[in-house]
Amino acid sequence: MELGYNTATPRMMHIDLNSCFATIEQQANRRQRGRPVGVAAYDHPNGIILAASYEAKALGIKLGTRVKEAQAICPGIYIVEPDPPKYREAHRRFRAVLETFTSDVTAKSIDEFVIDLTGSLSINSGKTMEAIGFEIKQAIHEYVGEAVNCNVGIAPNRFLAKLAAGLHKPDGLDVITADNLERTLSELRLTDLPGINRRFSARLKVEGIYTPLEFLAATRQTLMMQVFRGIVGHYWWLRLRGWEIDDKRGERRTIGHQYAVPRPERTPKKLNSVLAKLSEKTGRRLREKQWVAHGIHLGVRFADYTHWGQSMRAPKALYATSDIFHLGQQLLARAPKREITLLSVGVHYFAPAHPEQLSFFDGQRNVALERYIADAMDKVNNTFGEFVVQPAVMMGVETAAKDAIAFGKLDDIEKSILDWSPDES
Amino acid sequence: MTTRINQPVKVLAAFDSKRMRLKPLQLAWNNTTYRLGKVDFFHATKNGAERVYHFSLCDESGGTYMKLAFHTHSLVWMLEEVEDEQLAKV
Repeated sequence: MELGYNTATPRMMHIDLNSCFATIEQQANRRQRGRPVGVAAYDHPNGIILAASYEAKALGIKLGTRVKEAQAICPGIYIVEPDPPKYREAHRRFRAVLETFTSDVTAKSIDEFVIDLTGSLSINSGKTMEAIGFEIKQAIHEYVGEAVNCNVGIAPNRFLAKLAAGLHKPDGLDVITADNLERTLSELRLTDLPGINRRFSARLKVEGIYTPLEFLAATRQTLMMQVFRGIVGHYWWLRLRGWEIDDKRGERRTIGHQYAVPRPERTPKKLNSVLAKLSEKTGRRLREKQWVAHGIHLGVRFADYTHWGQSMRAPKALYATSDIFHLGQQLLARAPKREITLLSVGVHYFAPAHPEQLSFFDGQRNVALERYIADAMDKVNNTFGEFVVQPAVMMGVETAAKDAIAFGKLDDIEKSILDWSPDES
Repeated sequence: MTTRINQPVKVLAAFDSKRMRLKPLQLAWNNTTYRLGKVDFFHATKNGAERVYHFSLCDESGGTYMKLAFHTHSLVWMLEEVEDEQLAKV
């Protein structure tokens, strides 16, 4: 007999901050509340908007709009460059709020969390999930900022909770259960479903599935054998019915950084400088964890928005910045000789840094000395500031590869400096 | 539009022992004294080993936005940025 819809009382909650970066800027500068605001990578006519306030979105300004286009639409729009330390602090406070409700808190990105309230004190005290959702909204106003709103989605599994959180923006609170699942899906398009992009939507349409309701009605066989050609079809079949299969906490698999240059670049000297800074930032994080890496990836985006990337297995363990930089140079030399607008470096295949595992290819290298020098440079920079001591090739690029927000793993963000409890007034 | 200033300024601040908070109350800059309003956002960064606390706020009239930074090693207040508007005087 086939499994039906999950009729358990929903205990999963997905919460995301509305237009996070722009909202935090409005929180910090109250003069901009209620006004169009755009957070742009560069405050420059060709700069790209990364986040727009709801007031700006209402005018058609959104992620990817150029600053000059936004200013043509709205001459008074407030353009500001990103301030990642502010957003990290908002993230810390957001987490602190949620941890007062349950210990099962998972960050999905800088501005969204999923929490499981099963067995929590709030639930055991008799509160409904909706009441808890409204309490969380209030707590975010008090602790993160009164101008900061969030969407709350409640459902029996993570997928439907995220879908619910996206139904009414901004400042919504929605619940999806077995009772309203079909009605909710009937009002949506395939690409409204989290995880279904245009490519997957096209694949579904080839099999005669044009709507979320038809997706729900498709048999497990069809999804496994025809649409997704594997176990993924089975996962979608369960997910749509409210069964939990996304409860995975992944280990960090890559450390890396990327930088979008203000103007298209192809000169090796300038690109090497940016590569050096990205290598240093990547190396610092690797050494903080006391790991070595055995793989490296370099990616570029060209001026025509096409991409190129290559990975390689490192012949020796990567630890010092120079290790990463030299391999990065080798990969960069293989890239097509065209104007580059974005450069990214990442390392993977991690192992503990100690004890040192010497390779047959180390030859005359003094691995311990190289690591000692790398650690010493980090200690100087930890005390006196980032890039006080830096590789010579980085000189003259102090403003390149600015601090930026990771949209992935956030385990590097420490606790907030601001103590708070729900009773504080 | 916000203007980067990055100048040391004279600040009168209060330490709230109950809430363990530091709050700037007045600021003197460019021959003007500003009475400061509520801190709208507060965060910290590190510059090497030095902790720097950043305060985003407006003056009492709401006409001028400022971002102030308190450097814990040098004990200096820096006016980091200002949004140009009419001034509020004591």
